[in-house]
Amino acid sequence: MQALLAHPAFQAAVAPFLVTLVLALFLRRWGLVWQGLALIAGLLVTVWLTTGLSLQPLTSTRKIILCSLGLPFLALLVGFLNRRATQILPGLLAALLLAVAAIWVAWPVLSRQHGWALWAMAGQVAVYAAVVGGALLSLTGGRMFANEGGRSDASLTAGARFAQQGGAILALAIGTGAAAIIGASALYGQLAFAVAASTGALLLAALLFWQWKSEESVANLQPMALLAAAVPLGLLGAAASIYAKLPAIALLFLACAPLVVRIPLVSAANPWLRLTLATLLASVPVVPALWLTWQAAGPVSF
Amino acid sequence: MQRVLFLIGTLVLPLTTWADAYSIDPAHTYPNFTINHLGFSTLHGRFGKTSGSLTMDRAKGTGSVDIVIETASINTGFAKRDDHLRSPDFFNAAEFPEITFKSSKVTFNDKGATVVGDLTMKGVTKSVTLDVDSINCGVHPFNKKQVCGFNATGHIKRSDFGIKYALPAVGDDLNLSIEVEAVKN
Repeated sequence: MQALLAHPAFQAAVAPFLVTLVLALFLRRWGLVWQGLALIAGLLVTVWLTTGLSLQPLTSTRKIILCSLGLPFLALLVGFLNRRATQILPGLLAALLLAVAAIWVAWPVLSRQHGWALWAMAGQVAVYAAVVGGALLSLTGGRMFANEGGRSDASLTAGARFAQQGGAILALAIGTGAAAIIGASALYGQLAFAVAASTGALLLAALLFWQWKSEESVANLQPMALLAAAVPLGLLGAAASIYAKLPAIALLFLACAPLVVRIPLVSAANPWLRLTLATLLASVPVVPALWLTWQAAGPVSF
Repeated sequence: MQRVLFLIGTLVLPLTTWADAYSIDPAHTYPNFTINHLGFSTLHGRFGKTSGSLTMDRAKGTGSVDIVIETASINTGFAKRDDHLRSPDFFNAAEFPEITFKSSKVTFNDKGATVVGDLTMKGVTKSVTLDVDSINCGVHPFNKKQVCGFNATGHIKRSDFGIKYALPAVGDDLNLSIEVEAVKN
């Protein structure tokens, strides 16, 4: 049992997938927050298995974990307090949150830089995290609470939007995980893969609800779930460029994953096929990111 | 009055002695460590860059050690593994560029000395005891400076310092062996 719990594949894939799937099936009745809670729980179990739950001392890795577990709730709270503001700019809110969080995570290194090096490094982490957060959250179609009434984005069907959301997160998570491992941080890789596994479970649960119960409303990842994926992925990528050997240029390509998925090439009717095609499309910019990291950091060896 | 003060100074001054102060010789000071790897073999590594100072007063039986180790100077003979050890998974050299050891108590004995001090690694400070054997001091044959050298050993658990990645596959117990040479100031 100890050997199973210590196995990297179990920690980063099997455990978060199962936890998220079980919680998604049981939390469905709670409405708005079930997806986000299930995804956060999947990430939490990987954190528990790999690093433990201690937050002292507050290292950069623990800052990433703290933000990943806490910021989605903060966004939800802001949404409840001021619905009009967050309905208008969910992507901007996410971008600002992530930019500040990235600066905070990178601060131990930033505080030792001077002049242009400081601004360049700060800009690198803040812009990348902001683009990831803004790009993923804007896939909600401009509304913080997607199940609310109000103007909906009629240009995309529910299934198409769902495929974009799922494909963007899966491609970015797998790409960030692989790049982190090549860049010499297996822990960052495991955390990113955990987001991929949890998202996969969430997508599976949503597709099953859609097909079994004909609930088309579930075919849309809610903003809290999108943010629960965006925060760790944005911060892990940014931190890997500072604390590991992920080259900054690779961040440029990784940031394109949630942007490229908007290209309207996916027209298959089957939702499973549509999701697969969207993931493949979003993976296109991930390939050069991995190649660039391989060139900079060298081959992986254990 | 001035003659009285001069007389007192002449009598008292020889009774006060200051400990000899030394600067660590970075070219001949290496913190080494060994750790079990997956139960197959013992991995050896060292840190290549150190600095610091020490004081020693054998007559009074007192001393102090203050060493700073550059975290990124870790070397296990394999570049990719060294990159991994520098990453957030282990020592996170970018965030914590220095490992420090500052003594709190030095006790000389027949074999050498026992040094108790605070080891700070990855933002965590723990008390560590080092056993020093064979303290050797003399004149350097080439530069004619007074040099002291010794070997120190100790044990720590990396998990005590928050370095928990890959436990228990990669061992928790780190055996320390530190060779030190210091030049008198």
